[in-house]
Amino acid sequence: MDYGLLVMGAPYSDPAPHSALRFAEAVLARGHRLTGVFFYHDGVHNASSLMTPPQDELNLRKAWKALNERHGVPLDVCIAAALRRGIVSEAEAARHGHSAYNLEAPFELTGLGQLLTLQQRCDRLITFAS
Amino acid sequence: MTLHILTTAPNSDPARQVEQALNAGDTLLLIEAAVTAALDPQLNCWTQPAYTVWLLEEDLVARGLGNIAKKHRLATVNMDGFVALTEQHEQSVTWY
Repeated sequence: MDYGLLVMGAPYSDPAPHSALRFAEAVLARGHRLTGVFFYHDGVHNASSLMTPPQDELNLRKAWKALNERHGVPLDVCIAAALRRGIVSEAEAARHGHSAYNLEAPFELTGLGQLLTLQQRCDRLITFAS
Repeated sequence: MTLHILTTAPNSDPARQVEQALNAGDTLLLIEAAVTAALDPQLNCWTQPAYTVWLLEEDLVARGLGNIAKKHRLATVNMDGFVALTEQHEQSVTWY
């Protein structure tokens, strides 16, 4: 089956990203395809490349990145939710006159339409929020 | 048949809302803070016969509630079982 995940919880303040990651690994272990992960609402903070947890704790951004590298899972971030929370790519930082950016590949800023596309392409879309 | 995934503790607003939404034959999966429902075997979700209820094992163990779920003979699934439930249900709703 084709699975998509919608992640709406912030890292470290909400268990949703941890649950979503563990679910993603289990989906792949059962032989399904993970068509994409869409980060929305506070879930966009998962994409911050400035995330610096203590070294003995899981770095959630790196864990999502590893999922992309190992399985080619697209990591889409809602652009409207991200910009208003200060999660910006290099291009958006230039457009809005910011001196820094904190969203890099493999995360990509996309519109809500991408979530609808993901939903249409998947047999199952599972939401993680709390 | 719908899989309802509840992430919040009993007596929270989402927990009350999901009770209203559950139909006969549906499945309720308790994850994250919702697994604290294992502490009270008198809760409606454990005593009603209409829908099936599962607790996510990893979240129970993380909160030190694994033994209490066993003691009350409450049904648990691991993450692999969570995925299996989503395979069996075409629709899922997360309550948060």
